[in-house]
Amino acid sequence: MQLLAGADTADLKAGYEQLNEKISYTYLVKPETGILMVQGRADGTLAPFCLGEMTVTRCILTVLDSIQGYAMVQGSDQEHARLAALFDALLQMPAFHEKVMATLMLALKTKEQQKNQNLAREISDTTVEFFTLKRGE
Amino acid sequence: MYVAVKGGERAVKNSQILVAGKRRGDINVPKITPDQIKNQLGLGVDRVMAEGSLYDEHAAAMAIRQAQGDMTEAIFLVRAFRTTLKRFGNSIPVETTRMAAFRRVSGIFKDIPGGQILGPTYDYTHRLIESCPEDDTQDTRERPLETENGMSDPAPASHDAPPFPGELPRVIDILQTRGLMQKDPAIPPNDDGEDLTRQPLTFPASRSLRLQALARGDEGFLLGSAYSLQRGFGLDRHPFLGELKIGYAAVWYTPPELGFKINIGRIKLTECFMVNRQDDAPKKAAGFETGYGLVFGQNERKAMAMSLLDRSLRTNENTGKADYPARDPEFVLSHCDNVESSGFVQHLKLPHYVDFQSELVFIRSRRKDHVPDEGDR
Repeated sequence: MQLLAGADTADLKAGYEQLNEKISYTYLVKPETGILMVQGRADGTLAPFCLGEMTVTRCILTVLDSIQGYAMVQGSDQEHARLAALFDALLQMPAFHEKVMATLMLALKTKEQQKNQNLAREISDTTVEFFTLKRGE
Repeated sequence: MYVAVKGGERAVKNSQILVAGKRRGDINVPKITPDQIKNQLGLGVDRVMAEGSLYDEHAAAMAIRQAQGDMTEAIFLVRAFRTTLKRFGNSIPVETTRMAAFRRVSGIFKDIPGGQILGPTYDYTHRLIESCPEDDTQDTRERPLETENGMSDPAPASHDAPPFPGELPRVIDILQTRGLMQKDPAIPPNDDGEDLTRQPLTFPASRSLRLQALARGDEGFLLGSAYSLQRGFGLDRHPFLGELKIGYAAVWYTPPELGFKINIGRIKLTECFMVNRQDDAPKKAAGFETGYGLVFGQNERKAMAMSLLDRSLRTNENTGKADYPARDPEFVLSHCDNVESSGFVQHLKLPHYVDFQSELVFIRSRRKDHVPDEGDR
């Protein structure tokens, strides 16, 4: 679910095209945009405090009247929420699980790892190396 | 006796049309896009998100464009926007030790777990306005930084990237484990903090509400207040930067429909710990005390000011006396919200003709001599 929430809508769309099947579903909750209050902790460890809200879009749908797909994604992109919920449902179905894991989910995971690696490489270049100079004796 | 006067509808409508035109500017110049603002004016977007109290880069970018760059106006737009949205619930408190940090420095210890990571910052730039080519091709200095949504081509593996610092222990913990800092008694983690958007701010305010007010407070006001502390209006010794960390924190939420927590995404946060020496007191041995700051986006200045104020606003918790403005919770917290302060200051532009008329009457009645009547037609 984390990978679906963090994915680009374009990648999810492409993933859906790849399936080559029309999946029918019914909405329990149509994609709707709302907000979540993000909390932090005083001193990082103590009592929670409200830091500020963030825009999210959620969607709940059912496939085959029994499998529930849920998605809550950052931002106001309703397509993103719809597709993420759809894939959440598909991943719970044995008929689709393997295929989706091997194609879309693998691609998303690779992309995320790449992003993290790039970030790590960039910041490692800015990590300070201290040199101590011995003076006198 | 009041005489109701109406008018100006045509003028108001035309004023709206005029400002829309001014906002667009010269139509021969390309129109600015929210994507450009998000990417190239990201720190402005961060500020509008923090003070608008809504983490939504697109909304903030749109607001900045619509407000013609007036940040306080943009913050107002974002605040208004958030009132139109339904609140689904509260997130689980973010775990900042697990942030994917791209900048992390400490002023108190040289060697810290994970090292001093400078990251992208203007601290070491020379502050000279540079002329650079308007296209990207010739500028060899610029290396496009990885943005949150940036798609990267598989980078040529020239060398193995070092492992990403997944978890950076808090520098403050070093002081605590050495027994130099009193650990505040652990409060049972209740699910939700108090919320300023749901209840008015009354005094004495809990630390939860103070931190929320500071997190959404005006950067300039907080900065000036923190500066006053350092200059002697509240602090009599040099504070120290325990840790400043900027990175992406995961946001977790437990939807009632699912009953288990899910990861919604990552948000950029700046976290700051300030450390102050506390001398021997009747019931406490000398030790260190901290102040905490946490802000949306990359805003070091504000997080540092917030953490200084978090500490100073607690100084007189027991005595209730406010000796300096930046130590007075009522002074700082009542006036740090720029939407509120802007509203009240600017409301003076509204017609106060009748109010002022009564002022004139009063002045005249106090004067014995003939005073030429002016302005009462």
